[in-house]
Amino acid sequence: MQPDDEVTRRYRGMAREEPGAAMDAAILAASRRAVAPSLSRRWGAPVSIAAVLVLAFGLTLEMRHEEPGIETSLPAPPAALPEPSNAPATPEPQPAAPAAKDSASGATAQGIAPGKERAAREDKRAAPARKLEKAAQPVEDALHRAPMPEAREAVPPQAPTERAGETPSPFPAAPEGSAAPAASRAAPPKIAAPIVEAPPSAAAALPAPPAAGAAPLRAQDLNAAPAFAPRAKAAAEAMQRAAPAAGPDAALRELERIAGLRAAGRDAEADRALEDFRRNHPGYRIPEAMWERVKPR
Amino acid sequence: MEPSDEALMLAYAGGDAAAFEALYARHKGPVFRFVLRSVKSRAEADELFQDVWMRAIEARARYRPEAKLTTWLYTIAHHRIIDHWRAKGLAVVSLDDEEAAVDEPRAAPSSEPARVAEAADTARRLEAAIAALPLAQREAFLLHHEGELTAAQIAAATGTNEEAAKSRLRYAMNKLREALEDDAT
Repeated sequence: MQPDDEVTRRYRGMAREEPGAAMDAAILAASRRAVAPSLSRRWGAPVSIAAVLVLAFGLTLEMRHEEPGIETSLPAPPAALPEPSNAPATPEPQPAAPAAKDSASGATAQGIAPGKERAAREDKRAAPARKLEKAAQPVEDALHRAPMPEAREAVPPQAPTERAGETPSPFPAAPEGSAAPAASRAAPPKIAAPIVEAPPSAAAALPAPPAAGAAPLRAQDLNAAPAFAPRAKAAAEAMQRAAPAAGPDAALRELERIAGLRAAGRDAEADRALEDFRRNHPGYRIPEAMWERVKPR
Repeated sequence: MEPSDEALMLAYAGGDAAAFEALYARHKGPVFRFVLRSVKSRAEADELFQDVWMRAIEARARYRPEAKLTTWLYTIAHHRIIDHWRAKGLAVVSLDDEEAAVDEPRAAPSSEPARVAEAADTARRLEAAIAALPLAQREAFLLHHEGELTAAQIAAATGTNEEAAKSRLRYAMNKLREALEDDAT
């Protein structure tokens, strides 16, 4: 190529066309738009972070708000049932057993409201069986440790259904044999046996877990007696669960034997005997006074 | 010292809109004339010219400074013009010899060399002679005189080899020279 070629020189002399001003403006505007930080690009990240934080905070608040509801589904600590004001079938404890009354009133102070108890009971009806078994465990423990040995020993065997139907008055401190006919007359042996061991004060002092944890059983067994007050139902249910395989006399005799071993200082034998007793009477409620005599040392 | 085209393009790709303005001011005239003399009307030239720059804006992030900016920019223009001709149903044959050149898109009958010689104004005659060139030769001529590309850069922009680009450019110059000499005689 020749730099100074005639063609090149002539071409340089041709018209130097340029794009129009409108074209320039359009292209430059497009170029600025292409690199201008858009609103979403500039604020996208901060807005996203803020949204996540707000969402997390809201969820946290919501979870905190729901926590009480979650807790109600858990087994409540042992507490007394509330005092139903008009429960004629309830074997309500009366001043006849002062010690028992003290414990009962103390437990009542920690008790839950009737409405809450009802809600817990309904929750328990829908709970799985495994959960119910777990929830029933504190009931058995509480029954074992119920502080009413005097009343238990003093009160005769009595079916609450029978007594509730016959009289709302407090149980008299009658000899053991006096009420036996009543128990054998009407109450099923399985239910009558533990109730024989449970004085009215014990029923009053029943903790809340039996009412909550054993609700499905109660619904099955006590639907035939709708007149029962919640406490009576709970007591009957708990007693049913605590019913030993053998009679109460046999259990008492065995406990006396263990107590004798403890008194004689034969703790190893007493421990083994106590383990056997637990095995043979898994639901048996050992009176507090007896427990003090037979417990491992 | 003014920044190079490549530096300006990198700055624009990094978000500097002013760099593009400087780049556009440098190259808008040559690119426009390259497009204008590759097509037959100002309206088509405007459309293609805007499209070329829009594609350059969109492709800013893909630009690599290893390539000269003008080569990159005229490559975009070349592809756009090829698309334009194809859309019009005209075959674009990249042949370099005189015989094959007759198959390429040609200018309107009014710009045939015989009619060009009749033009009174030399510039108009030269313009008519350029328009009468085969597309590949005209493109090589315009890329050399407007874009100031070398034969190698022309080859890179048009997707051919350097020897072919030199041949096209030589044929174009000879034809135009002949057209001017005919006018002088």
